[in-house]
Amino acid sequence: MKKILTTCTYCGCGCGLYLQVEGNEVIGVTPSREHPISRGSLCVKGWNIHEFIQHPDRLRTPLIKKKGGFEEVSWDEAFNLIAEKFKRIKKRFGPDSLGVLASAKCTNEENYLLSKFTRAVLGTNNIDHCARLCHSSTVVGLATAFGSGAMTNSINEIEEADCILVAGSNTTLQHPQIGSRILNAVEKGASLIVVDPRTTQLVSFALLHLKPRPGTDVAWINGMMHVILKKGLANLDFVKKRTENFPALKRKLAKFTPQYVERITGIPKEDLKEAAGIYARAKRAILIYSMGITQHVTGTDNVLSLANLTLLTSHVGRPYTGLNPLRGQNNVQGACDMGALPDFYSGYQKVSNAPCRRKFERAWNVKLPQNKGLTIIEMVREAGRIKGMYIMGENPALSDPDITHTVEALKSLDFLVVQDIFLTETAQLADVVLPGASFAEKDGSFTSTERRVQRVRKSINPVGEAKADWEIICDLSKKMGYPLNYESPEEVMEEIALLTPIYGGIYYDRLEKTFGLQWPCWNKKHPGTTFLHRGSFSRGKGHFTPIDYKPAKELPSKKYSFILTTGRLYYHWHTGSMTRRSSTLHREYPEGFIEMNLQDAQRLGIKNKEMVRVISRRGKITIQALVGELIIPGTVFIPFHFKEAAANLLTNPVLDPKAKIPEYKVCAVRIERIER
Amino acid sequence: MRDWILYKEHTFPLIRRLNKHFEIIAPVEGKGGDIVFDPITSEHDVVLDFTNTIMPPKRFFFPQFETLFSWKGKEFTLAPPRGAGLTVPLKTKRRIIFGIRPCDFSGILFLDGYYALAYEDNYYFTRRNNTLFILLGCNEPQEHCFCLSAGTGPFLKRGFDIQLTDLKDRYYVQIGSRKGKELIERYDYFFRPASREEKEENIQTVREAERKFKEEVDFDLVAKKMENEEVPESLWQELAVRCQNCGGCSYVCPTCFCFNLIDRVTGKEEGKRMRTWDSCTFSGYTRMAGGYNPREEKKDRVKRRFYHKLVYEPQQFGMHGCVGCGRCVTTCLGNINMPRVMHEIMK
Repeated sequence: MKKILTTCTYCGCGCGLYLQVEGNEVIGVTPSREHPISRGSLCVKGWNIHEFIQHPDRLRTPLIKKKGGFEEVSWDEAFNLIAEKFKRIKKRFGPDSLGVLASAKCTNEENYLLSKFTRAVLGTNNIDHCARLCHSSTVVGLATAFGSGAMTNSINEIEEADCILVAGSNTTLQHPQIGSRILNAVEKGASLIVVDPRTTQLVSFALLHLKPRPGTDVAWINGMMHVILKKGLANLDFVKKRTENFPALKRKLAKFTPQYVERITGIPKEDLKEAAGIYARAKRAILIYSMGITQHVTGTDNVLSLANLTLLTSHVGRPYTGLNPLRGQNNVQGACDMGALPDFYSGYQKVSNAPCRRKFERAWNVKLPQNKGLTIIEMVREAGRIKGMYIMGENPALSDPDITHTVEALKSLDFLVVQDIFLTETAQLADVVLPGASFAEKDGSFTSTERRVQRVRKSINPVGEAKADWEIICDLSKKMGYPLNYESPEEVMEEIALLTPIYGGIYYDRLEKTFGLQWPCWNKKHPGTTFLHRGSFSRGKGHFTPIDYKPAKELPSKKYSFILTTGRLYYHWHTGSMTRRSSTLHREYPEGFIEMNLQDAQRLGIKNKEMVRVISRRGKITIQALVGELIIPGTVFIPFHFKEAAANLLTNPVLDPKAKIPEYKVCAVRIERIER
Repeated sequence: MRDWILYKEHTFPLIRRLNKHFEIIAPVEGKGGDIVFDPITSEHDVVLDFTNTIMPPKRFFFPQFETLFSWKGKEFTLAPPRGAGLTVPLKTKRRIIFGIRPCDFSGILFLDGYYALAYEDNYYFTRRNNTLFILLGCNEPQEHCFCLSAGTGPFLKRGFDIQLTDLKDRYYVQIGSRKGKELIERYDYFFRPASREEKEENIQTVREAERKFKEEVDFDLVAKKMENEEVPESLWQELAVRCQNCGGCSYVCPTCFCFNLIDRVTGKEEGKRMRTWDSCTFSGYTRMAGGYNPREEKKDRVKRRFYHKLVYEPQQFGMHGCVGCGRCVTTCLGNINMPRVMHEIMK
């Protein structure tokens, strides 16, 4: 058999695909038709996934920076230097002067091991990963409201819904399989409501398109609830039996009349009323959201508001009905589940909880730190305090907000190690670069957005001297005096299952015969869970949190009169280290652009495809203008993939106070025509 | 030519014997239970009661990703045409594709025309000429199959090397080429001549299979209406709105032959030129170097795709650009459905 079944490494849908191998080369892809998600199809990234795997730019040997340039060195030399430097920094400045970024691209087993290495060997809880930048507000918000921060339903349930409300998700482009399920539901007669300042592909299938000004989500959600209560469409029986704190919410909603909401959001009051009615009256209502909701200084508030809406209408805890945050990365769900977070061990067991900590201390045979660690942005912002960092498979030098500051901070570190498959913008700043393995070169598991834990299988040997990331962590740990002895990722998963109740029944032999298991899966006989909160919520009662509308931190002014919102394209992935090396994908969008409304462009005298300058309080870029009517006037959009015109030179690093997620979706910019 | 009988109980022994002298590519079961064409290691890998595979065996002739030549300084080295997923170098063993469906084989016949259009493509024909095709006709058309309308199935009349028809406990074996005849002669002890009754049974089986098709379209009528510009533009717009630009319809299509050429720099003054599958639904497919795109709108690209398959290709190659396999229906994330589009046009 030369076609090896594995799981796609791009988005959180978790498609099953076969890699076709000749010799030690991956030369093609076949989607799995039996797989419940791929069902014989893939998106353009999946279809072309082989193009980046053995690209000549892959890192093939460890590198050490000497006299400003990189030199190829042996693994031994690299490990010796890292061990020596980390030990020295730890001794001199204490363990909390070290920080680690795990990776939503790497496997569960690798993230678990890196979390173990950080806590048990480095002795700090300073570990985080890019979930902070996408769904930390979901984790915090849904933990408060329901007790568990993940999709309540499964992807295929979407097809059976009779109403689908999509807020801040460009689903067909970013989660193509889920987009396809929405389309199927619409074909079967479901009503689709899209809430987005941009006219996305989904809008073509929608009954209603609400276009709020970016940063005004709490207002329209509260407005919907106001209408639902007023029209008597709330399920008060459910509210009484299964929720708490309703009176406080009710008081808060009083002022959010459709007129008031229209003033804040720009959504016509009739549209808001109609949307509220359709959603509340539905029998099987699926609410889907993504970065448009979470990446705000009010991200947690937005998520809590959506949770309020589902509780008020009893649209949660049933099949085909629920609240569904779409996780972006292939394994961002898994990296969170594995405890690559500053406050949790695997399975969301709190670091601050003494019995939990004692359990891990016993299993890992070491005293563990008690205090909560720093988040991604805090580590970078506190670069004075953090002296050394270990970054696995992340590229904050392009993905953080206000990257000018990030790059300065990373440069000012005493010691930086980056483990990646390409020499990314972040790796270029490193003192030591370690070549990791791509998903095609190692065994392990990924957990998809629907909590489905699935196998990743090794198809070829790592390129050059590169090593599987779990092996690198084990080897380094050994050098630092704490041997991590595992024969295989399977053995790591056995430890995870032992220590992590929600993964309690997840073992490789069970994943082998199926297309994965959905957590919670409590024991070896448990079949996994398709939807959450049946009968009661993870925390017991659903909790209403009354939320006030607060504007975004940086609003348009005379000098910076546009709202900039950022996001991704269909053909590229995040900082483009893989997709921009994939010829088919790169050809579709070889460069960045700023999307703007025709009215705005005409006012400024900007023609379609003309180069413009975009300036914020933090930086400026030169970029091509795409002029049209796909975005509301006053708001502009820039994808963040392109280093030549990096959107994150402009974005605002202000954080949501609870979840510490940056406000990627709103900052103020000025657009200047370039005189020729 | 005389027809033969192969008892099913002799099929695996035959494949075992063939496997000693040929590299056999056959439908095998992948880990997820999917049936895919792949080189076999043992005759027991072969699965012959399958609905059609997710992808046609096109990639064994036209790989998704292959190196054509490499260069170092001013020296150029032609890359040998590789086997595309085989376990041994192509030249050392001849190949048999065992169990290919008539629609997919028709796709290969179509590709033959394209790859000999301006000149014979060495990479394609080295693989093509090195391969013998043993077809397995279809007694049970699937939901989206419409090969009967396309004239590419469920059984073929000619063009194949060998074609098998399932007669329950035995296969009815037809020879269609000199290569096929030689193979049967070499292994004649596995076969016996078909009787007159079996000949009749074969004809009945074919007729029965043909009666089972749910999908029927009129390629000629569709082509005529399209040529006469009788198709409303709104149809293409409706399709464009659904298309998610995954390229899947081209990738799974047995007749899609388009490729892109890319250069990969592997070192100082070193690199390789590669060929990758391409799709006419991508904007980069028609975009010029200066940025101008004659088919900028997705509507125009989708329209052109259907015109190419249903109008231009029949004119150019004398064959429809669609073999009725129905794969694009399964793979499309936007539920674009070739037969449904044709019905729409036929209205």
